[in-house]
Parts: sequence; structure tokens; C-alpha cells
Amino acid sequence: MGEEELRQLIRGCIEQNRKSQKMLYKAFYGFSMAICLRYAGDRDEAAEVMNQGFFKVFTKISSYDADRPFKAWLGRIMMNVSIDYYRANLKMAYAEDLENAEHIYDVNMADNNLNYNDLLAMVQQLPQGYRTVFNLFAIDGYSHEEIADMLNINIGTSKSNLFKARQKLKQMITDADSSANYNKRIDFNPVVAMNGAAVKPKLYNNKGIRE
Amino acid sequence: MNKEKDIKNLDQFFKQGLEDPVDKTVFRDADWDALEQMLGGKRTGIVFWLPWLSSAAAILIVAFGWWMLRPQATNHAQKPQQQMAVNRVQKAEQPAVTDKNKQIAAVNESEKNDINKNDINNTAVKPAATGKPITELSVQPKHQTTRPAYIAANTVINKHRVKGAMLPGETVNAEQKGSAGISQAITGQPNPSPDSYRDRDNSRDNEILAAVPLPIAIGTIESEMPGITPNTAGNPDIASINILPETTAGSSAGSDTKAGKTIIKKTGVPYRPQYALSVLASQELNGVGSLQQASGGIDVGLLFSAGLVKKFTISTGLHYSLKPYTLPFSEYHTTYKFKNAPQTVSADCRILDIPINIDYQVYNKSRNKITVGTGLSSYIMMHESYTYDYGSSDVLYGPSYYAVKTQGKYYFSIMNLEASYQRQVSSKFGVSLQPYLKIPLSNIGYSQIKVETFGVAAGLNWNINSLTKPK
Repeated sequence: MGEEELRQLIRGCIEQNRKSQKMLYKAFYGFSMAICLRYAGDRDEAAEVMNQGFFKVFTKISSYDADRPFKAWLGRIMMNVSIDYYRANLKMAYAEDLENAEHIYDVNMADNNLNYNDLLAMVQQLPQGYRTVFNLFAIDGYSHEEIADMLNINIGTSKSNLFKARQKLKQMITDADSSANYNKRIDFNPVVAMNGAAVKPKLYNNKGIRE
Repeated sequence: MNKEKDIKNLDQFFKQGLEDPVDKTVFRDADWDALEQMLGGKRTGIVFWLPWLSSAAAILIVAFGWWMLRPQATNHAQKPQQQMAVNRVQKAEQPAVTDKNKQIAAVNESEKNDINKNDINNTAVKPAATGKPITELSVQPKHQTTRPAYIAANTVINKHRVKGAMLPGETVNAEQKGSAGISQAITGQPNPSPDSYRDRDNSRDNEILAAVPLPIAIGTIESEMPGITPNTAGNPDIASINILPETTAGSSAGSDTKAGKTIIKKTGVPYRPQYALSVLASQELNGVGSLQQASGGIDVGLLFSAGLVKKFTISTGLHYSLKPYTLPFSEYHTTYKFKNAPQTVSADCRILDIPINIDYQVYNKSRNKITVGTGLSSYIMMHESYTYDYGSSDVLYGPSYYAVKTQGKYYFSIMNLEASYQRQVSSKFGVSLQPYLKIPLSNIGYSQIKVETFGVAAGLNWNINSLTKPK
């Protein structure tokens, strides 16, 4: 989408033109959904959160500074909406002190062939608390202090959740590698099948098996 | 150092992998519909009325089902052997039956030329002379004419009505049409009327081709024979976002801000049902009792589905199925007494299948959706015929073909179990693959058997909301 076209759409959205809103929505649907999917457990939840984000966009678009990139503005709205959505549920999320966390073992990530969907599925499998902190820290680049402030949790809890999230993700990557290796027949001794009918009976005459 | 490097690698790995989605999430009209309602969109057109129409349709279906399944004052279903005995007693007391069966003897080509009119006379009608109960009468082929034969006739060829002859599935003909009724001669009572084998089969016309050389087949026998919108209701709404503090206070979403802290309110997104039409075609296997000796069939159908509740979809429609199957004669039920039992019976059934299913969405990510479901189907027989295989072509012993003329109706008699994988191609269209299993809950068809069906349907789905929602 060109800059001019985007400006026209934004102008239409400021005028609450439904057609412009829909066009903008469709244009940034994939981008917004990609962000929300990282924070959500499934697509329906992600769509719900994303719509909350677009609702904010359409009702407050007059405050948008046209000198700044629209995509970055939209992306931050989606991220914040995602955080707000899950903030209410964080009481049920995992919150554990760092001291209780176990050691992380090394995983070689260079050799795997995991794609976007694989990685997204892994992140979505994380418990909410782990997922939110991991997204904020590892992907969106926030510090533990900022995360603790945003989520109303302790810094130690943020660190612990991140630690646990990484641990679980590594385990998932290891499992995926094992599965891939199995499929590629790597590191497995082949089992030779014998055709019983082709084996001729032999009489050993009690000479012993070593003769 | 290595540990820190490894952690950074992990973070970087996920950051790079998730920043650039290869398979972008496809736009879904349902999501825009939900947002449009949040924005205050008006609901107009047919979609506004669809929930009411769906509800009315559901009530009508339930009422119709109740009406069809209500207890009836007529006789309950009985075993064929019992019915044979009862019919003789009841036929003098009951009004004329409406069942009509026509059975045509199979032809023994080798004996065609040996048959003359005398044979016809011999084989046509003798029950009055012998005084035998009419229910003992049976089809006799030409080569068994040394004994009294009370033969079925070929209705197609000569159109002579022969009263009292017994044919496969037949009991006693009570209707007196044309010539003098044999049944009257036998029973000594005028216009006897047999009972039906089954209550729901009262209006059947059946036709049988019996194993009689063509010239013998001379008369007609009348006898009795037997389609989700994410439902956000109850979910918390997000009151404010951190990057827009200056506009939060005036938010039309009803959010509040206290000392910089975000307060989450529940606002609930308006619910919006989703509707879809699907065209399905499938290859299926049909078997009696099990699918070990299954025969292949095909099925085409049109389904309407309504996502009325989050993750739950109700669907109904119409399928046309060709269901051939083969069963051993021991599992074939009929009141007709075969002189020589066939080895196997091959059935050719063409059925209108009206399912009512409910599906639960177990997976929905990106373009893919997986649902599992169950429901009930009603069968309406459009065609039902049976071919009898005696194993040897040297001699023909009995009927070779039998066609049931009237439509048997079996309401909510089949349980459907299905799983469906759907992939969204665009916002309006999707494709689906649906393995399914149909398990009969009651006996179906003239032969009263339970035919299991397993099939895999391929379908094209059309989201009809995209046409009717407000622009």
C-alpha cells in the first residue's frame, strides 16, 4: 500500500467512513494478527484481541501523528492491547521465583528447519505468563523492569517466567529435532526384517552353536 | 559465556522466525463483522432475520420429528414368522390393505420352450383345490411342477391378476379385483385383508421377478410385503492502552484511568452468528454389521451450517447417496419363504439423507480449522432393490430380483460421527475434508438390516455472510 493511499484511508477513518475502516482493517489484518497470535492461545482469542486493538485505532485515530510510521503505531497498539487483555488473567499465570528455576541445557538451534508456524505453535503452547513475558522481552525488546511495570508483577517473577519460557521452548525444539531425526533415519540403528519363508531349516547335529 | 550466548541465540531465533510470517493469516469476514458491531454497525438484510428463521426451522424440525415418531394405534412391528400367522387371523377382520407387491419370476431360459399353456394352468392357481392354507404357498419353478405350484406371475407381461399366490415377502392378498378372489375360496370369508408386516410399510408396492419361465408368468399378484463468530461476551475489554494516555479519558469504549493504572472493564462484543453453505461429494464404504465386506458407494450433498454459539456449529442439508452392499442370505430378512435359499443378496439402495449435526471446533489456527461432530440422519429410500445370487448358474431356484417400489422413511434412524478439516482459501471460500461414519440406530429398509457407512467427503464451503452483511 502506497503512502498516499494510506493517508487517504486514514483520512477516511478520521471521518468515520466505514468503507475506509474496512480497507484499513483488511490491509493490516495479517500484520496485526501476527502480533496478537504471539500473545494469544489460539486464533479466536487473537482475533478478539486484535479487534479490540482496531477499535482503539478507529476511535482514537485522530490522535495519530501522521509524521510517524503508521505501522509502528498500530503494532504498539496491538501489543499493548494484547498485554491488557491478558493482564486480567495473569493472576492465574505461572509466577515463580528465579531460585526455583532449573538449569537450562544447551540446544543447537542452527540445524533445525522450524518455520513460522512451528515457532508460533511453540510460543502459543507456553502458559500465559511465560508467553507474555517471553514475547515482551525476547521479541518486543522490553526490559524486566518495564515488563514488571506493565504487567504489575515483580522483576523476579518476570525473570523467572522468562527463564521458564526459554526452558520450555528449548525442550520443544529438542523434541522437534528428535522427531525430525527419526523421520530422516538419523542416529537410529536400522532393524533388518527377515523373510521367514526364505530361511532354510538346518540341522546342527548337536555340534554346538560355535562349530 | 556459552550459556548467555545460547540464550541470546534462542531469543534471536524466535524473534527472526516470528517477525516475518510466511503463511500470513487469511482475512476472515467474521472478524470484521464482529468489529463492525463494536463500532456500532447496523444489522440489516436477511442476516438480521436468519437467527429467527433458524430458530423457527429448528422448532419445525423438532415438531415434525415428534409427529412422525409419536406412538401409533396400529400394530407394532413383529417378526415375519409371527406376522405370517397373525395375518391369517386378522385378515378377515381388517380392511383391505394398501400394500401391493409384484414379483416377477426369474427366467430359466433353458426351459422356456418346454412350457405351454397347460403348464400355466397348472402352475397358476390351485390353492382352492388343495385347501392348503394360503400362507404355505410359494413360488415354484417350472421344473418342480410335479407338485402343486402356486406360482407368482409376471405382471408386466400378461397383466392377469392371480389372487392368493404367494411371493417373496407376501402374505395374503385380500383385495378382490377383477376375477373371483382365491383368498375367499380358501378362507371362506369375503374380501379378507392381511395385516402389514410393519406399521410403517403399510403403503408399499413391491415387485418381484420370480424364478418362473417367462411363458408361465401370467398374472399379477397383489400382496403385502413387507454451518463462528468469536463470541467475546464475558471477556474483559481493554480499557486503555499505554501509548495513548492523552486520549484514554475520552474513550468511547467506556474505559477509565486512575492514577496511570489501567482498569479493565467487561464490555462484551456483540454476538454475530455465522452461516455457510457447503457442497460435498464423497466416496464411501457400506457394509452390513461391519465394514469388512464393504461395497463402494458415492454421496453428494448440500449443507447449510450456522455457527450459533462460539465453537459450536449446527448443520443440516440434503444428501443423495448410492449405497450398494452385499450381505449373506442368513442376514437378509424377508417374510417370503425361499424354496432354495440364495447364497448372497446384493442390495442397491438410493437414499435421500437429511442430517442434523452439531460440530465442535477443536482447533482453529491460521487458515486451518478442525471440528468434530455428531448428529442424526433421516433416510428416505428413493430406490431399493435386491438381487439374489444362488451361487450356481445351472439351475434357478427362486426369485432373482426384487424391487421395493414405495419409499421407506426412517426418521432419525442413523447416528452420524464426523471429523472435518477445513482450510480457508479466501475470506469467502474454503475447502474441507470430512471423514465420517454412519451407524444405524434401527433396522433400515425392506430387509430390516443395519448398514454401516464410512466415507470421506471433499467439500467446498461458501461463507454466505459475506453477501448479506451490511457494507
